[in-house]
Amino acid sequence: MNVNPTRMELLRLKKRTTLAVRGHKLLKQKQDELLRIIQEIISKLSNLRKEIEEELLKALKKFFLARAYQDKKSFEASFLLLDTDIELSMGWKKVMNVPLPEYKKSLQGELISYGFANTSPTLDEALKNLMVVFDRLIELAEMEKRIALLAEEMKKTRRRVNALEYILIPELKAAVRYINMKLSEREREVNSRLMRIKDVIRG
Amino acid sequence: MNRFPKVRTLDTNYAYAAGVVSAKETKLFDSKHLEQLISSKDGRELIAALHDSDYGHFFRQLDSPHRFEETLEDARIELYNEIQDLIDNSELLNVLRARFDFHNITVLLKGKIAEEDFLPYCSRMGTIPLDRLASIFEEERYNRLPDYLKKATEQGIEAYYAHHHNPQLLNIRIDSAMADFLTSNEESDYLRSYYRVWVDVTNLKTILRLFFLNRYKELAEYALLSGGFIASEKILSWKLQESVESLEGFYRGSIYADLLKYRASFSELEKACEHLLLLYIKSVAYESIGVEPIICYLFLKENEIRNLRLIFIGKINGVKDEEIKERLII
Repeated sequence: MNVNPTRMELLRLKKRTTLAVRGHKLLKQKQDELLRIIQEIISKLSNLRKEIEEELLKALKKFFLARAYQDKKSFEASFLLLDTDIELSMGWKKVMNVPLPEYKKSLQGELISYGFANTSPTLDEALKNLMVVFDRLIELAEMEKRIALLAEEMKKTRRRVNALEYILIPELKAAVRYINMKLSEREREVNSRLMRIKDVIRG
Repeated sequence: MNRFPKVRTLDTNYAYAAGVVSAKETKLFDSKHLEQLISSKDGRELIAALHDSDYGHFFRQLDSPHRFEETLEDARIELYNEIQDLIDNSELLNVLRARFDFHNITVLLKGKIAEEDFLPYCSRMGTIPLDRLASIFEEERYNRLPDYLKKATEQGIEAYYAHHHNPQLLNIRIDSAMADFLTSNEESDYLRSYYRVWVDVTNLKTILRLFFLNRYKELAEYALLSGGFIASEKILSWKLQESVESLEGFYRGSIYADLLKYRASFSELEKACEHLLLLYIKSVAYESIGVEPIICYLFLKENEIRNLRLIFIGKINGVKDEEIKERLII
């Protein structure tokens, strides 16, 4: 590090070192917390994914069986004019200063807009089940997006921690050591010069 | 009603036609044959297994199992044409094809409301050619429709707009008009009774569905069909509002009482309902004269096509053989 070996510089560098060490400690804590949050989400995520896969399979099976009750045209015609309006909105929530998405689904109208005479009761069950799975899919998407954002933040934090730990702090400490050395050397030089002058005067 | 109404067939006009269908009935798939079809490895093997059946000439041209619906529709069209050749009573044929007409007017009405072309969703099995029906709806000249369809269309439009643009009410109102038409036909006692049993069974299923959807109070008065052996007013006056449990008391002693055993599972309930209808259909299977054996054959063939559809859908979507077998209606 290219520094002026002055007392002012030494004081400035000491302050910077203290700040860097403090920053490093905080960032390390942030990194640990982010890791804890990510691990927590991952443990929930794997269970959720498994449950959704099972529920989706069940709901789809019901849907296929309900589909077999009617011919294709009659089945598709049941969904031609719907009274259902699904809205998906997104908000943000800050965790460790990372903005994380929050998805919210709202359903207006009735999920079932067909008549009862030519459709299968299994279709009602299948649609209700699919709606539940849909809610959970939104939850899954929210978690996956959160993990991606948190992982990105974690990467940035780790880079900063490493930069502080392995580059900035050692460099600052080296610079402080260098200035200290230079200042001591200069002090010794002045001392020896003064002693020499004293000898000359006495001599 | 504690047993099916007795059907007396005295009409000797259909002796030849009845003979023709009794020969055709021998070609219907029995449970063993259907199980063989279910054991096919995939859709392609299923198509190959159908090559030697009565459907061979349709399935030999089919290159992908995913297009099975078009083939089954062709088979149904041929079936209705065959029946048309055997029955020379146009009124009766109208009743048999009426479901497709009601389907078509529902679809075209929805298209009119949505301002989209829904013609591809219309069935080709109705009594009115599709291009004519489409032009009637385009020009809104509903008086060119037969009275029963005109009335249904008007009721559908009225229900839709009177209930805050609710498409379900449109469907329900047209279904009600269809039930009224089917259960009031004078052409065949057997057919009329079949539709009356169908209405009863549909009402029973509808009650359970409305409770499942928590919409009984809101929709029961519109959704229950009239024309059945059990009047919809009688169902509505029964104290069902409190709980669905009291339904058992209502149906006790009727032929529908056993259906309620399956109310915990909609798929089992549906199978039991279809089975009951099939029992009624088969009640004339041994008649040798009259139009009834022809109608019976038509319904049995329709049921067979539905079973084939189930097997195709099951095979394409990887449903287990056992589960397909459980859903077959034989």
